[in-house]
Amino acid sequence: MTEWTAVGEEQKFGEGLHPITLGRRQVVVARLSGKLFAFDALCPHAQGPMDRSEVEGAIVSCPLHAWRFDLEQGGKELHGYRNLTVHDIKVTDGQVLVGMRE
Amino acid sequence: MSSTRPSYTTIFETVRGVGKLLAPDDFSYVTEIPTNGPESQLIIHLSCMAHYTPHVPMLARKILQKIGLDCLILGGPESCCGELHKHFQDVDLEKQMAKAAMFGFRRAKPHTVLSICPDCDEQFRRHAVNRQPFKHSNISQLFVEHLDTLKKRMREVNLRVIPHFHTINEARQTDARNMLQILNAIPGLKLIEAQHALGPGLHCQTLHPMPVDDQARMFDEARDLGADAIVVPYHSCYRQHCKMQLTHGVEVHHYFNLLAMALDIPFTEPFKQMRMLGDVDSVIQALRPKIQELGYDEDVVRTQVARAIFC
Repeated sequence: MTEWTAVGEEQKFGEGLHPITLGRRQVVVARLSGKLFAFDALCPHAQGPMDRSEVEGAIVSCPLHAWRFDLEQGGKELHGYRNLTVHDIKVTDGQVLVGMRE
Repeated sequence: MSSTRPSYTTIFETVRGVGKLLAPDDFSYVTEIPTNGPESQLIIHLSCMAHYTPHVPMLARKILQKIGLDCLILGGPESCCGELHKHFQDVDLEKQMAKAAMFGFRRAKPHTVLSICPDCDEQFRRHAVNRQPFKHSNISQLFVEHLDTLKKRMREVNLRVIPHFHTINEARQTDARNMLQILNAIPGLKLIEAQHALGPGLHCQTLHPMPVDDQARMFDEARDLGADAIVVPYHSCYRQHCKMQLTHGVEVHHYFNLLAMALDIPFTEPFKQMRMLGDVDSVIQALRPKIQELGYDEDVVRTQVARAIFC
């Protein structure tokens, strides 16, 4: 069962990428074309800072080696490399809640 | 990010896309080595932009094989040295890139990592750590160390050539000396002295190419001196100058090409073949079967070809 953690009011997360800390994990909350996503802040390839990703639609590219992850496909890496961990996210009573995946 | 600056994604996707389109079927390399992956005493680091000239790393491996040395080609954007990020002044990312690449080399437990690109050379030198467990050098150094072995296998190459070189720092001067030593060892090859063969900076980069007037002067002189070819030390110079064959009738060769000719190693030059077609449409037509085979979007490839081959 998903354990949800409140990370802030919805209005705090405008369009773009927002790094946050959840316990010991670094996570990025992203609002892309109005839609919220949450994903690991470090690229699975070389630990690149995903909060500095280049964004194209719902595809985020690591600023180091441009591994490209489709957030609409659960973080699938588009060249066939390792995927990015994408977390659950929802808004309840104006609060953004993130459900971490391992 | 400035609107005039291409994104890293754009640049690396061009490298990956055009690189695959130009790669001969027998070109093999790895992008990263997993923990407990294959080990290799020698690694040739494949720089990002060398993807556009796959015959250069391929010949490097084949020449090493003539010496009796086996190697692994490792690289591509996944092991980028960080030069691009340095150029765009993302200093923290640059350092992380260089360290990640060098950490990646360590997994193969090499005793030597060989660069073919002067930018990578500089980056790995700048970011080398204390007690680094492998030696790093430009590949020209290894060729020179084994020149006696190579000379025994050489046949005549009857060409008149002008060496083009860069001398901005000690490392590039060493490369230039090494290239000259190698060329001088090839029987039949005549090296012509020229006044206008010196290139600017570390190498003829896409972002800082040789000024057009200087380039024209170099090729005018080569034509007037009756040279068959200008021989360059780096794949970047090769890319910048190939097109001059169309106007001046003087060929451009990477010095590996001449070594390969001398050693009877057959090779093709996909970049030059495409550049000699003269325009993007002709290149797209030539590449269409492979574009379709790889499932690429032709409009995207068109933009990438313009950026990579007609820069």
